[in-house]
Amino acid sequence: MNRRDFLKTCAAFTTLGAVAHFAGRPLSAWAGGKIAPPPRPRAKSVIEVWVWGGPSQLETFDPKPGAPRDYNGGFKAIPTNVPGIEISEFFPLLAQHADKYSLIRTMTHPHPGHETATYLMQTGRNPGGGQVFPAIGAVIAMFKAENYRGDLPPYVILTVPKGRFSEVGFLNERYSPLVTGGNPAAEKFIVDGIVPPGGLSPEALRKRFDLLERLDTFGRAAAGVEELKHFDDAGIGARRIVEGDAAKVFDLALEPRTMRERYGMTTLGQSFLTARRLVEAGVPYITINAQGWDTHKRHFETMKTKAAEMDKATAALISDLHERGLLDSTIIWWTGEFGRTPKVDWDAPWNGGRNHYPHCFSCLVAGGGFAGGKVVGESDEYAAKVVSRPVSPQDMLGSIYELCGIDPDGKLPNPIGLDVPVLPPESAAGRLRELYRS
Amino acid sequence: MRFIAVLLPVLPALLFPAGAAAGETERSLFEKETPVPLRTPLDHRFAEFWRSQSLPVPREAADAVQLRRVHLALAGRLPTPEEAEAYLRDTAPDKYENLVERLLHAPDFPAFWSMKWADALRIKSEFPINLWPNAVYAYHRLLHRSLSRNEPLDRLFRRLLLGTGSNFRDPEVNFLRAAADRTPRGLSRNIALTLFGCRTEQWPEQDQQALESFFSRIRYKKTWEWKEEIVFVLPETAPVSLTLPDGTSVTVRPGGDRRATLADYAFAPARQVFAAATVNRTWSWFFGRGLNGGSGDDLPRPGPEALPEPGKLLAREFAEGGYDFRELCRRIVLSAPFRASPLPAEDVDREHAGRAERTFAQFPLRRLDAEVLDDVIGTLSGNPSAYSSVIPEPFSFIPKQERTVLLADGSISSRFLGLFGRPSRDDGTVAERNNRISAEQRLYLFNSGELYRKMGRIPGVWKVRGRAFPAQMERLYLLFYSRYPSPEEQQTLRRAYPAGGKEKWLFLQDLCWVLLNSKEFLYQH
Repeated sequence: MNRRDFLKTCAAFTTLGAVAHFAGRPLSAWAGGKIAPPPRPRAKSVIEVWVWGGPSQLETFDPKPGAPRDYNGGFKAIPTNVPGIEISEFFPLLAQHADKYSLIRTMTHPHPGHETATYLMQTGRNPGGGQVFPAIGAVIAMFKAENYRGDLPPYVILTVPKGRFSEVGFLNERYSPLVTGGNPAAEKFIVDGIVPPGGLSPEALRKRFDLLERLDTFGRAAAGVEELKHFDDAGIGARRIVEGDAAKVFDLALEPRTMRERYGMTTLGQSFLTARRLVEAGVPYITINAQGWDTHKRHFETMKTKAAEMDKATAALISDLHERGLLDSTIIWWTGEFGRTPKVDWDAPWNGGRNHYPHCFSCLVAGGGFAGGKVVGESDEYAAKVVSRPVSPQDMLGSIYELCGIDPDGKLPNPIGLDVPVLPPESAAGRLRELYRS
Repeated sequence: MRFIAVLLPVLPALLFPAGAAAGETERSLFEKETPVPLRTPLDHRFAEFWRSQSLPVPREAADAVQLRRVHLALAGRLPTPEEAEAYLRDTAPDKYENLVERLLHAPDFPAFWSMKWADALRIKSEFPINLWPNAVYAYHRLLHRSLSRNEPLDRLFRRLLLGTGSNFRDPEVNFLRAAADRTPRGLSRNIALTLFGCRTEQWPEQDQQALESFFSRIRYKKTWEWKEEIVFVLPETAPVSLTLPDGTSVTVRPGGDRRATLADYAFAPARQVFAAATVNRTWSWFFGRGLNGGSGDDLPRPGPEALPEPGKLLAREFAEGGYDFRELCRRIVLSAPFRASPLPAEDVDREHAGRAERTFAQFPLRRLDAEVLDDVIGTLSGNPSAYSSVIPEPFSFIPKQERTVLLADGSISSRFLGLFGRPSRDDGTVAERNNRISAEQRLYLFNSGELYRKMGRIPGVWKVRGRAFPAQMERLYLLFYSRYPSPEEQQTLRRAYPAGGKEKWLFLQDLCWVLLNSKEFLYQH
């Protein structure tokens, strides 16, 4: 809807006496006074590193070496290749690439529960109200689908779903993610439904499709029924994937051994490598669902293994995309649903644990129009409170939308006829304009 | 350019005249040559309705088609090959009626229909409906038991609407807990959806407020028991005047319960408010769209006014007959629309065929429900799916032999169920269930390793292998389609049938794949 249409609609609503519908909603976003969008949206794909469970801000991107041991656990900060920016000693490889990414140290929202926080971080809305809104992945998949020519679905999740969470919300099912399952670090990465389970030659497959067509007695008798046309259409794309090259994107044996090792020979590392291959194939949205960061117990012991594989994979992804000239058109955003309590719980049964903490946590962004080498926001001496520049989930999502060329204040088209913008209208002010590249 | 724009909409109709590709022999597998008989007043209302739409009375579906259709509709399963053979051999003139009686009184009837009602009642343990597991199972058992006993629906829903007490010990209170939004406004929306079949969001604000005040004294409180919650009502202290959705005023006396007043309104046989909603919703569960052509829960106002004549009759019969759900289902599956051919009439254009489908003069095709398909594949392969859940606690493990349609908790799902459109049970609308076919679904059916492993077992489980060629083919066709292969199909199969032993085995695997991926199998037709 452009502005003129909107004003017309407004006039129509007024005459119908339904103007109350818009009351209490700031009109500024639509009717002038709008914040300038980025000069040239350049992001073609987004890779979301979803650090499920909530990564600690202190052991990632907001270390507090000067705080007491009860806060920093005795762990230090290390310099990066950008003077003045320090990150946790758990991320030595990523420290060498700080010029290519920026850090947000003041992400904040009020929800300490996994489900509610995930919903907010993913949709930009609070749960309730009877509607389930789509997650950013489904929204971007929908807007980008028009120019996407690949055979794979426009949204792919590696390797397990976020769970208990309808990514697609009220949008059309076609924007729901393909969840790969399988293990990319295994001998063969079996993506159920895409990579044939083996034993069937292309010739045998063709025979099956031939027989399917010849025995389609019912289809011939009921020709003309609209629903069967949808069935046939759906089959064309699916058959292309079965018989074509689409499955090759998951064949990591096509990568040189050194490249595979650069990402780390773990499920996580190889998921990152697969994500890069999906970007090359043009898939608009890819989520890597990282597991095991909900560290209520023995936090620091867990960090030693978890952070090491994450450091290796993230550093490899950023530098690899950069070397291939793809970082400029690919957004990487790295976040959890919240951070962790700054004060360590040393007592049993936690034995050095951190709990859920949504009030101040960190997020990394790179590429696709986000500048590198910057830090947004400042937290207090314990990484417990936002001191300056709070960033809300809506600010984060709105920035990614803008860099993808999607107007966050524009209409969110949907099959149920709901009149809603992509993000709640009151969210426009805090977008990360300071990080947009000119 | 202009003439192309004019021509384009016509083009598909020119290229694909409906029904032109099939010969009469192929059609005869799916429909009889005679029109569907008109037996009841309801059938005659439909005949008049079709006449008003310039549509002839449709042909009757073939016996095998009716057999399969009514099994899916009442039991959510396919007939076994033995059941199919017995039915096709049966020459009694009332064999369909007898079959309907058997199905209505079999345990699969309440099992399958508790799934549909649990969708409408939003039975799930977690987000955005936080019933919690223990309450989910208590609530689901209440529903399943009520449908098994065929308790009159007005009595069941009165219990649900008026419940007070603990979510574990008085399971009916979960009706008022199953709401993402527990404000009086949120509750009134849910209740209008369930009892009136209406979306109050579209009502004038004043009417929404009037309805809301029936729920303004409902309260919730926690107890010392883990995840227990009590629903209670603040008693009235002074007489209060409220406005019913039809505009009449009622007074609730001190000590009274506002909800009871609303129940009297909704369940009064003369008004047919709950009757119209239930008839329309149930019809949409059978046909994929409501009697009014909508989704099945989108009546503009409470009551039968927006329904076409056949719908008004059905609502009146349902209310006056004591809200007997089994009887409602019986009337629907015995009606002319339910027994109509699934094929578009010959020599008609697309517009005509579309109109026939919309007005139930042609049985609309619908992809099998996710849970039903899961059950069917489980039965065919002898390897049903198992479900479990560890979040939220306490852990739930569902026995493997339990049918997927009986899966009580909408929060327990699987990749398969999600892919095939099991409803999230977030808002309880009929449209939450998604029976549209998608490329991802077809891909899964073409190519899933999980499915390959299951399908590989079919010839063994059903003892296909030891038989001679034509009997093997008959067996598989009865399993998947509930009919015998036609002579033409036998011929095609004979030509493709290999000579060697190992090849034969592989061919049976190929054929199971082909049948599973076919329209005839995947659709209720």
